[in-house]
Amino acid sequence: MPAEPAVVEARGVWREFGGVVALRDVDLAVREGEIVALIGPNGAGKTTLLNVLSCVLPPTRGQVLFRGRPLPGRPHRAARAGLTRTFQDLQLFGSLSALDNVLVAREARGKGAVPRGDADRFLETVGLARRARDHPDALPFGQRRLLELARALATEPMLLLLDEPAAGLSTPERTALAERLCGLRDVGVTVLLVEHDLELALGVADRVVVLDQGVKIADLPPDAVRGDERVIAAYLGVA
Amino acid sequence: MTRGDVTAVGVLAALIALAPLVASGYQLSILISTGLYGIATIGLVLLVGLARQVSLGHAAFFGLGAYVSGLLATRAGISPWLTIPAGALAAMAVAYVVGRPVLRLHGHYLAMATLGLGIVFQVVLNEWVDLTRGPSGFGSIPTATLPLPIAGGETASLYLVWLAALAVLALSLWLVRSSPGRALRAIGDSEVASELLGLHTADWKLRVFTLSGAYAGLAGALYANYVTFLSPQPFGFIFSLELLVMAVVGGLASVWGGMVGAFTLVVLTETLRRSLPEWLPGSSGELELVLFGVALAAMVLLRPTGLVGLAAAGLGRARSLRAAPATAEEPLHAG
Repeated sequence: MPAEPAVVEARGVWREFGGVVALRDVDLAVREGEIVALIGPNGAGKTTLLNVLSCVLPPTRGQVLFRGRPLPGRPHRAARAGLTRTFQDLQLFGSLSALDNVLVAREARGKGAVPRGDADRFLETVGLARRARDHPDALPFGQRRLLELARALATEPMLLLLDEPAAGLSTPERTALAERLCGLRDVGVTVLLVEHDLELALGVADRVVVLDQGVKIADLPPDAVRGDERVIAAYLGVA
Repeated sequence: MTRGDVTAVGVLAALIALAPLVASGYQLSILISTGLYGIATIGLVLLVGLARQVSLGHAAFFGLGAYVSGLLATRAGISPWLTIPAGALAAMAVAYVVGRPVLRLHGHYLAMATLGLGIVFQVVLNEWVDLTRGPSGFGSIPTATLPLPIAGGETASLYLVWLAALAVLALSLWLVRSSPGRALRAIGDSEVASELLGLHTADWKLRVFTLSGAYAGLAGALYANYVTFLSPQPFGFIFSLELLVMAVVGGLASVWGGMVGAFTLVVLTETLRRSLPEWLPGSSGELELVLFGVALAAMVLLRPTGLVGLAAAGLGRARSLRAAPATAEEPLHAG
């Protein structure tokens, strides 16, 4: 049986900032319908890899393929092709209400205005329907994260890159987030998840990729991560 | 547009329509100037307030609209009804050509490019004497007259300018509440997030800059039609700054800020021009500039949302005060 095509694939990706090598010859493939967790200690290069995969940064060397073709050069083209993401440092639209944050995402997909009801259901998905008229500044931090997730889902992406979506969420909110992420797999959305909360990451992922100092050191099933010596060494700093 | 906006535009239209019955010629000239500068300032509010891009050369678009309209009417004998839109279109075209390469770059390159455009425009006006008559300028520009049974002069100009100003105001109010307005606000808030939703941010910024240039060109063409004499002097860097001050003082967060800022600065300028020599004998025009600078700095530091923001905050406080007694009564009823 032929292997399922990779939705996104990094081939020998390097990213350097002056003399600092943030990513070193990284290979990564995320296949359709998978949830892949990208973990690693601080400074491992996780967000840099997400930036390269989402066109925010070009790779210094190497290639990124999206559905088998070179990734478009500009983020908006990648987004229109079916890729979107959330951010470690929230990038909400502060001058728009929660509903308008989602509405603008719906409108960006097409050519014009869409009915407000069309955006409501994405707020309902993350439990923010009652805060539709509020601006992001008026929301608690956890709800802002959820709003950013709702906005990303509103583009109905094929590939969703999530950068620490659980940061700042309460325990019940984390549980709800994990359920939503599993729900995304059921509707065919492919997810690449950067997450510090290992419990959550290992709970939802089909596969776990571990980065350390810009190098991919492991690509494992979740139940093999905790016992892997390379992962333990990377996290605990043991040689 | 909200219902409040529709009502406010209607009330403003009625006030302008009735103004010639009660206002003096001088007061009408203040209203005409407000309409002219308000058109250009609304364009800046859209550009700076929504897309967070700064133009330091809007005087050039204003002047370009004026000169294209004035030259076509005087040299080619074309009807002012055609030269006025031609002035707006010319400014729009130049804004597109300048903005297209610059707005693909991140950062405040537009401010640099428009500053340069303003300088080049001044040089062209002063040096291309065969076409523009250089620093001495040219006059006798034929004017457009509305097909209405009204007296000519200030009243006709008032109605023509405000017909355009109200159209620009209504269009802009609709724009900010519509899908393009949301897209521009989103881009102003976070370019990277907007891109990753699928918005071509460079194109959107170019669109609003082009529209802003067209507004300034339209205002300039109407100015030429009103004053009937053009020279390079009014379209320099200082005028670009004045337009920016109008936008900031009025409030960048609201389209109304453009009109409020234009009115405030026109009245302030006229008041200073009349009263300053009495208050400070021997003072010159430079003092006006100093006071403008102080007004700009004070507004940015103390009330960045401008006069419209100040009014909105005051209105909000008044509403909450009115609502307070009802809230206070609730525990009594509950008890």
